Amino acid sequence: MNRRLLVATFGDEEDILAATRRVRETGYSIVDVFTPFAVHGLDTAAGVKPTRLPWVCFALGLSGAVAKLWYQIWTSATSWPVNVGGKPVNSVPAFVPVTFEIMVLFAAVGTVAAFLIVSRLRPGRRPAHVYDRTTDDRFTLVLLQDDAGFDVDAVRRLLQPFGLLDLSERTEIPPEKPPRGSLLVRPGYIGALGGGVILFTLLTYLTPRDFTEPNLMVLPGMVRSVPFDPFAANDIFPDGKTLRMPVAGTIARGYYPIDSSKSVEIADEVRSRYSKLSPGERSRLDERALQVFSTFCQPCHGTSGAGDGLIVGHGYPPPPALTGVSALRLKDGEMFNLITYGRGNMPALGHRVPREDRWLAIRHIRQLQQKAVTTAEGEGP
Amino acid sequence: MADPTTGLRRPLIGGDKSYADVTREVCAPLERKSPAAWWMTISAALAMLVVGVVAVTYQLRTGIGTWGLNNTVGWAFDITNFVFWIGIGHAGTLISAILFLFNQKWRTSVNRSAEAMTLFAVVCAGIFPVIHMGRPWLAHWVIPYPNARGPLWVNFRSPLVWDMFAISTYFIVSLVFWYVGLIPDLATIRDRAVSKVKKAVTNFFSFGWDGSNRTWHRYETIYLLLAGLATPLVVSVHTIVSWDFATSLIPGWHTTIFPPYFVAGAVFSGFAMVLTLMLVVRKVLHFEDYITLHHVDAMSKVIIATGGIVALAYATEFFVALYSGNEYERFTFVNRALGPYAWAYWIMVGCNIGIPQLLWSKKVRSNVAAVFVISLLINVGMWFERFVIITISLSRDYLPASWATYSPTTIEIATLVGSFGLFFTLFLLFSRFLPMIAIGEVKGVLKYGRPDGKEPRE
Repeated sequence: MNRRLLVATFGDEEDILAATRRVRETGYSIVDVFTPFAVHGLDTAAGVKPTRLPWVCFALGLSGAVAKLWYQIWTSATSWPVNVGGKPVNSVPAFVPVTFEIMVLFAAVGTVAAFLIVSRLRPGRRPAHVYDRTTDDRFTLVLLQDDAGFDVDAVRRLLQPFGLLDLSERTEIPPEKPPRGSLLVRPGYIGALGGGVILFTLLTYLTPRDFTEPNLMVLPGMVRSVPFDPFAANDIFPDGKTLRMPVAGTIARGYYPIDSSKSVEIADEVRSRYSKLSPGERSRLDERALQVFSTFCQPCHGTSGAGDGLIVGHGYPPPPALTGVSALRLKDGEMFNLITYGRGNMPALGHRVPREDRWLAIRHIRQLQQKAVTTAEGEGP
Repeated sequence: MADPTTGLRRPLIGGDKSYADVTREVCAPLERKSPAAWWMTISAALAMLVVGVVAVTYQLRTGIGTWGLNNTVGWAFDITNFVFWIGIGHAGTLISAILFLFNQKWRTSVNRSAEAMTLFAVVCAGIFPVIHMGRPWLAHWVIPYPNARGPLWVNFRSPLVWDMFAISTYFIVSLVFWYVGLIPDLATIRDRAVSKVKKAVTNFFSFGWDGSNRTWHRYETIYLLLAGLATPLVVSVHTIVSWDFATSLIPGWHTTIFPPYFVAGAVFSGFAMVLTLMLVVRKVLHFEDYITLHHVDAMSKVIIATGGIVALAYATEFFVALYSGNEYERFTFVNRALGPYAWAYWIMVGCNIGIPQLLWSKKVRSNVAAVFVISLLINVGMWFERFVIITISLSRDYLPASWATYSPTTIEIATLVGSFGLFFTLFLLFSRFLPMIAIGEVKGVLKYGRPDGKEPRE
């Protein structure tokens, strides 16, 4: 149906505001107002209902946040839980930043998309109404001549005081066939695009490929690095070897240098340090010693060190008694090496028990030996 | 700042213009032939870009060993550049979103260019972490998509993953915000276009905008929503960037002051960059009536404020290092000021704390050349701030045995030069093909403070 429109043009923000307000009060029906910029208050003046886009924004933000929180919990705690630094797999506080970002992303992009949809704006769309200089400096008020008695002169008289620049009549003829639209929505174009995609997919699937071979690699230099063979000759170094000696005067981390020529002085120093400890510190050392002993020695050698630990009851060959003669004869250093490197059925404990703890265990064993000797003497004649 | 004779506020736009004047003047640079100066500057920018492309190609082919990094200093030049560029970007969002929420009308003249600067800075920033990956063709592995490796997901507890989300969200939202602002202005260009090609292209990109009041109403609503979303976003982005450091255990990095300190530093450096660019733009494109001395004045004040926060943060770091009683922390800060990189530290202090104090003087603020030089020096200082935080802290940590020094290689410097080339190339293309001033928004504040207009309604 053709619509007969009346187009009034103004040159100022204040004029269009006042004119629109007056026209609406008088009862004419406003088709739309076109302005070069956002004129504040024009929406209420023209009777435009407040938009519901804020609700869209809220809903999208909320759904983005919920979806992303769920996704993080699902990937980290359900799909493939990975222990990272002993932290709980479901560490929700750590998921807050990404949840926030995705909330903003969904809300912002979604709101703009919703705005484009409700405002019918899309790439390549031709403007529905074209009035001269609307995007420059003209403010256009479009009225609908909705009945036969519509008096154009009355409108002119009404609008004259508001600095009316031009008043003209227009007939809006609805397009007979739907507008051709942009390049992107033309059926032929979509067909060509879709056909291309299908053709490409088909070609991809029909191309013979060898799945046992790796894919095409871009810049493979960093994928396969070429290390030197440790024992191969190497002309980079003056001595022609790949393996390097440690720099003179250095110690590898984790190794402890022992100067055997000073063992007596060291022992004296340790003894004097021990004598200066408070009773509380001594009892703490004793507790630690007992703990180390019961963890690493007791299962085989038994609580009292008699060689009657748990494992003997399970059929394991009984280990030597720690209170036996051979053990009594062992020097502290020998015992330390024995614990560190193991012997016979005894495993090496050097890498499992820290150095200090090994010495503490020896101290505990010595105490057990003392007890055993005293008991034996007491039982003797 | 009302005028005592008329009781009106000072106009935001100089030169008593009509709406048509604004359209014509802002569109003028797009409609005339590119001046020789433009060709010369874009040639220089492209030359810098080529240097960067060559450097990046070489280091991708050869490996990260082309950089000066070692076991101790594993993050240095590239991460400095990354944080520098991200920081630059923040002023754009601050101007377009935070100043919008605070109703600072003067932002209308600079927000378009500042937002463009944000986008280009984020593009430059994004390059560095990707190169740093060493195998950038696997960069998509940082995205948690269903894959054939398990599926193996990313570690959502890692600040580096947060960073990826923060920066890509920041880029997308800034792009959308910027584009939404551009739509009405693209329609203006479309309606002015003479050539058929230009008309078709601008028609495609202006989405059929016709200036309808209903659309404007929705447009204003979503602009407000986007500003409300972008404000916490911009704070979150640099907060998360600072977490890259703060969640580690390196003395000098492991501090709770980092998020506010980084955000303030970002705004500080960003405003310096906005000033640098705007002072050139207003001169070259004759936008003196749009980017007036009052704009320069207002931005200088923002610089004093954020520079003050940065100075306070520097002092706080030192105080906490002293007060904590932690010997490593204390050493780190003594080492910053007096160690082998002391020169970098004192450049940073001089440019970020010393130089901006000149802006307290009204005389300096109204001297365009002086403000330009100060803004350049702040850019230098803020680059060095990131270098100081990242490199000095790493070079001397807990074990003296593992101390090392770092100096950039030619390749790293060429990459930085290339990022500047990319930034200026994009900015120059923008200045040539898009309106640098938001035409619609400026028209909205044109009557501000003029006798024929009235006080802006809020």
